[in-house]
Amino acid sequence: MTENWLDGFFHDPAVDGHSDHFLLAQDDSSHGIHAIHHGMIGTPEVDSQFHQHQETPFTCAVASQRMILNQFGIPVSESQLVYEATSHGWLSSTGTSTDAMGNLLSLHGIPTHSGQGIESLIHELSQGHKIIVGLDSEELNGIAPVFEDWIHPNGADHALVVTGVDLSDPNHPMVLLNDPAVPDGACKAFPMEQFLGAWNDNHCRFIATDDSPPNLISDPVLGHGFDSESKMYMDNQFWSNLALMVVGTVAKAAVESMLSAGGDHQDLAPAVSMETLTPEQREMLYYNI
Amino acid sequence: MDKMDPKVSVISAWAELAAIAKTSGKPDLLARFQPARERLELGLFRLVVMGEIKKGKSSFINALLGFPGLLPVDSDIATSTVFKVMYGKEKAFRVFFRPDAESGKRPTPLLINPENLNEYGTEGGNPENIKNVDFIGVEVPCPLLANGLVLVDTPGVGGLYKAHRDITWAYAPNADGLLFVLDSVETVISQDEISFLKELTSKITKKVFFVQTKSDAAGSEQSKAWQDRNLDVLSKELGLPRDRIPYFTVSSKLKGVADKRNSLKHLTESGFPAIQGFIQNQLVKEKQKLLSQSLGRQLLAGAHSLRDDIAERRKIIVAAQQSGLEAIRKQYEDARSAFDKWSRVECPSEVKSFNQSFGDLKRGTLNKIVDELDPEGPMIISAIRNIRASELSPEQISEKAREIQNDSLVSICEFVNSTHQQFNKSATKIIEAAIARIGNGLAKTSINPESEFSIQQTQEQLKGIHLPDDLPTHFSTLDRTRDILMGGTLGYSIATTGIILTSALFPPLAAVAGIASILGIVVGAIKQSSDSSVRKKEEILAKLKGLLQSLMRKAQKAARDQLETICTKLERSTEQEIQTAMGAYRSHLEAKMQEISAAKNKTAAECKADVDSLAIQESKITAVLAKLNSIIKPAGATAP
Repeated sequence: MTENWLDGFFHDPAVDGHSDHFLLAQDDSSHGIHAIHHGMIGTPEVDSQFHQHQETPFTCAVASQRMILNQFGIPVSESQLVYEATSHGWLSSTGTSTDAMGNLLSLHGIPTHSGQGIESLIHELSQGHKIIVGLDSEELNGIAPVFEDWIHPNGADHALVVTGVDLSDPNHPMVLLNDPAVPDGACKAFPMEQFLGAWNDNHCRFIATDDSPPNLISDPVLGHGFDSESKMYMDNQFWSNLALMVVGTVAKAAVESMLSAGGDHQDLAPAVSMETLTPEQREMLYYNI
Repeated sequence: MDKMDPKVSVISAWAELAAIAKTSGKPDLLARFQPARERLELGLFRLVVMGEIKKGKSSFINALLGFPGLLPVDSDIATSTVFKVMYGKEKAFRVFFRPDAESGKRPTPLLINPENLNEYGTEGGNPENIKNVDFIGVEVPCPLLANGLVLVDTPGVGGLYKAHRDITWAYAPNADGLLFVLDSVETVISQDEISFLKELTSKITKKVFFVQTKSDAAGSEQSKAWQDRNLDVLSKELGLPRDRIPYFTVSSKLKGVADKRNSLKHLTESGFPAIQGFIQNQLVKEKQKLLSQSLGRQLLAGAHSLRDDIAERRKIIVAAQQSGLEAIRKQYEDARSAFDKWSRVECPSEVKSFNQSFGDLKRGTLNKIVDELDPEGPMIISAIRNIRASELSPEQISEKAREIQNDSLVSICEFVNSTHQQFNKSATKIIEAAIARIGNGLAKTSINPESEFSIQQTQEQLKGIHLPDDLPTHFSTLDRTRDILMGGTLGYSIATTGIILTSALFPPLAAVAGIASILGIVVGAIKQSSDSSVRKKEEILAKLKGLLQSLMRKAQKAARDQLETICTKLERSTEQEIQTAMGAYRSHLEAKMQEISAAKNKTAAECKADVDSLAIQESKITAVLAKLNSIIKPAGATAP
């Protein structure tokens, strides 16, 4: 068993061995997986129009949040965001801290939540939510891949936007990113395995918006499959079939339990916060501080 | 970006553990740790702001939060009350009142408009606090406060050392950080301020940092020169290394300009990013780390118990594969009868002996409180004797009445503080010893031979444990005991009892704050009637004595009530918690017996599938355990 069981999700030999068999499942034409979607989860083409190149070495998280804000129709400059982040103590010359990664979104009225793991991430993408992850950029870009984890087991140093997961070739799943680090960072594709290695340095954590950008529903491809009841692009059946097709029964079960639970970020969502205090709790707090 | 922070790690460990627990048919495993998780999530950090009048304290807070005009800054009207500022979705001001002297109940807080603040919060609107205001609560939608930072703004007073001690005792002991405000124009740090800081750092807290305001008014050179002078004085007088004193120079005015124009240049010049970074990235993070470690230790206990349970399940299936079920059934039957016998015979006597030790401690502490806080006792007699022997005229005594009462209150606070600390230490020891004994007794009934070893080790290690004085008990000894005690499901459930029990112990300083709030009773100067100077002096002394005695009676009652509350809570929970732990162990044994019966009917293929899936769960838990261990004991270097 690998150290992080999530690593094994796409590359568990016991599961991969069955992939030929599961390819048969794509024949489910009633859902038209290939016709509509070609195994693409998320909206990388739409998102790529919003790519921004970060203006300083330490504003990757700020630029990533800016992409999302712009996509939600909030035109805001990087310098404005840098001001806001600095004046709130979220940003310093070493960058944005992991737990402050979605704060600028919240500040501008885009609520976010955090989550963990590739299944949750796919679930978020399937709902059109926008996602920021922290990861180890050197490992992502393939620098010293063998020794990297050994030397810096927790070397998350970069934030970027995940725009899609491309499963059209089940044997070579890809992750699509809007990377603020470079001017041509829109819609960059990385092998899933490489992405997971780099992301694992941040314990596969992500920040996701609670909602999808307003214009997604009118997207010619995705909007067509929007299910208003589950608030998902494509229905549950589509996603479990896709999982079955790509990664097998274990993944199918995982995806199904995830869908029924509405994503497993439940266990990560805070039970209390300063925002959700009841008047009684607040009064107690007042007396006790 | 930062390295993985402990809060994020521990919450993700929670999620991983919850998933494994659910798969293993123990969905409620983590329910017991919910309070620790909520503590971490709320992440309260109490920052108390102190300083003399006219140092720009309120302007500083308004600038820090980015809400100009939030707290009244009008220098003509001295703010006379405490403001507690916390996050709220909408701006709101609420007046909180002191408990009624007769009934001891607090009136309902009053929601007010900001323009009415002066009626309650200033000397002009509320002279001598006739409206009995305790403090004013302020909610404000400031993101800086969203992660649990709360500010307590204490009234600025001239002659801070004398007049401010009551407030200091009420708020400083509970502070996670104390910010002391100095300025760049009025005067360099004064003797009054030094005396105040000396008492603060020697008796109450060392978590003090400094802000020097109004750097714009002084010009950068003068402001820098004052910073140097102040640092020299602080370092010399307080005995702190100069480069280890957190000291920030700021301009609230420039911060205001920066906020208005979104000017990064003004923001940098205002000096605010440094102090915000310090608060957010050091102070608040450090507290988060402590809370994360506390939750991490509890989760570690949960993970250990789950792993042991799964290991036992696997043993049973393996035994089934090798036709060894009868032997293992015999082991469990023996364990159960030993346990039943132990719980009938030995356990009640352990509980009894715990109750006895605890009862002794309670009586001893109560006697001490009654003796020391005796209205007819030495504290008051010697105070009156000293005043009588002094050269003070009746008028002077009358003038000084408030100060004398304040001094007595401070002595009471100091006594209650140390008594509570001693009580908590002794109570913690009694609980630890009882748990170690119960654990040890239980271990003899256990089928897991490793448990006995680890409990012996526990007792060895317990001997060496002593409490650092400034550490709240619930962060230290009990957590450590529990770590050590973890030998199987057994050690785990009995050790968890310890956490629940000590959580009934108050942090000692909360008690002091309760005493200090009696301060509303302290009255001002005493009216004189008689004309003969000797008679006048005696008459005033008698009145003063009466006041001090009434103060003492109230303090004694408050201290006793608090102790009673703690003891009742503890006594009530002890037996109940021990029963819960025993019940949990009994049902654990029952569950294993059932698994043994079920295993009998399994086919070879089913057994193999079970063993494989249990092995996977075990390895997942091992990964979680490694993660939790790294949160609790963070490794220094990352390179091998």
